[in-house]
Amino acid sequence: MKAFMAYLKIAFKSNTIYRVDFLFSIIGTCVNIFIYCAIWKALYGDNISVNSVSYEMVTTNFILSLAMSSVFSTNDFVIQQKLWDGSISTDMVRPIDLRVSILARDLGNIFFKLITHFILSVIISVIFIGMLPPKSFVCLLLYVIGMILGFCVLWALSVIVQMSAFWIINVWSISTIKNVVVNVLSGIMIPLWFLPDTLKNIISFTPFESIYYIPVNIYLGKITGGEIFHAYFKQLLWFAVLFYIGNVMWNKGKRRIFVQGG
Amino acid sequence: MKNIKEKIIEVKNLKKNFKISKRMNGLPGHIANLFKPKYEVKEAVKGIDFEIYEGECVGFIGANGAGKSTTIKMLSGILYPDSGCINVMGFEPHKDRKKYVANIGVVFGQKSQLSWDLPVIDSFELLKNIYKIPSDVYKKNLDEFMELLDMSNFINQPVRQLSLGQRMRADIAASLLHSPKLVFFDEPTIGLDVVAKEKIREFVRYMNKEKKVTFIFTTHDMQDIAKTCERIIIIDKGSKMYDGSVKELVDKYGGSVKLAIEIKDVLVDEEYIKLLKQSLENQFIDCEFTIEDKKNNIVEIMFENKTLSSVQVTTFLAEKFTLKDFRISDIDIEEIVRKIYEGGITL
Repeated sequence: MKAFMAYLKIAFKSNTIYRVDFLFSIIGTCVNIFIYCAIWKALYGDNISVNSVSYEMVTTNFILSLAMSSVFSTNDFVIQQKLWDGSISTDMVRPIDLRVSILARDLGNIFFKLITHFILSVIISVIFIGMLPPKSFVCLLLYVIGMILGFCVLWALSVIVQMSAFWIINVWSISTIKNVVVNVLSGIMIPLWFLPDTLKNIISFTPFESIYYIPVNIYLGKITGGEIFHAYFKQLLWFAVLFYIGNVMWNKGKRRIFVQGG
Repeated sequence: MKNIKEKIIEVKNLKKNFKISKRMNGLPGHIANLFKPKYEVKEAVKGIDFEIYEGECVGFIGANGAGKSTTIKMLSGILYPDSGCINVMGFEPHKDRKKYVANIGVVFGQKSQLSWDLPVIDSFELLKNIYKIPSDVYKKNLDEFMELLDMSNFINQPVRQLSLGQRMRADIAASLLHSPKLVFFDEPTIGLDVVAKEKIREFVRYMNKEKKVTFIFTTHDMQDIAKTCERIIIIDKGSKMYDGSVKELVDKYGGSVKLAIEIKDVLVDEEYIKLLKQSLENQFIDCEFTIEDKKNNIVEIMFENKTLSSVQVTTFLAEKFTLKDFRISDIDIEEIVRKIYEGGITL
């Protein structure tokens, strides 16, 4: 645990070094939010609601999911990079599981971005765009739990992409496909409310809605009561399944470790 | 002596192959490779055996690509061997990796294990937590290394701003903070200047003699070996060529003498060298002489001193030629190893 916290602290500290990069990535997130909101404002025109979804709900969805996605920094290229420059050898001589150190580093980045990106971009968005408050205080707390579980699913998915580096070395294409699919199917690009029912049903059998769609709906109070636990269970189940796949890949991949250079 | 000490590493018939993608030249070849990749199997390590005892300092040498780094990487649990067995302190490195690596230290000269952006001391703190080093041990080791490796003036600088020599010293300290009994150094002196190299050798010697740390290191610098190791293992093309004491190697395969003479009054040219060789060979029949023009009128003559004493040669030269000065030295380990690599000596 101490080692975990130490990795986490190192990642957190590293974030504070490149200040300009940090500033620009906040601006990037805000620009993203503004663009999405402008597009949907134009689409809505004078309508107050479409399919009983109000414009405010749409903007709230974007602000929350984009802010979350800017925080949920999972780096798909960690293992690829380590194999590429040979630094995997350093990780393998530490008495700690490589995945634990990756998770600790990811969490270090997340805590840093939570304090800076998430809160800042939400504040800026609230001031300039406006956003619905959570349905109730309880909803806010339940949202936070859903958000943590959502991250777990996303992280397990990223581990699978990372592990594939042992076989295909360059994971760029897989990572890109994963990101596009996550963006579309988890409701970042188009709120899932607007999708046809058949498509929505299909998506409900995938891990993607667990990532952003479920937490946002809990926040907005669209998922309530027993449904919430059902949603949590779904998130947990997907996390378990994806983690298991990642675990199998790690155990097989370890044997294929190669060290480039030197 | 050896039997009293405990065996720390036992390696039997260790093998490792690499698959190397083999492509044909030109665009058609590259496109063909996309659909039907061809691989060539390269045997990096082909059945190596050795044993290492506690408190030894063993040098691993071999030409580039001989398989020594691969062996070190298998010993430290990074690479899975294809076959054969490794037993280090009762562990099978790749299988009990997490438990095993807590007991060893590793330095890869070509790669830093410190966090690039952060001050050295932050990386040390991280290691303290990873290895669960008790605070008093950590402080004691840190203070000691600070002094021995002279790190106090850069300990608070980010690693990316260190010179190579400083970085290497920091890396070496990092690998020993948790007081491991066994340490692997993979080219710890690569790219360093003479002073920095000497400092590292001194440190290795101290840790080996005083702290009884077992060292295994690879290097291309024979001075490293001569000044720190008692035993060397020479690996060539994936097989073990020699395993024994440094002294034995020199005694057995050295056997040659290097005589450097400085010629007075006459200008040394090709003609002169030819003449010199001729007259030496006429005088000492059945003996072979290698003669090299070292510029500035200095000529180096090498010959085996089993049948011929250097006194004979020098006396002869002094009579026939106008010598200004001469110097006799044994052929050193560097030359022996060079000959082994080049295939001149078969062990």
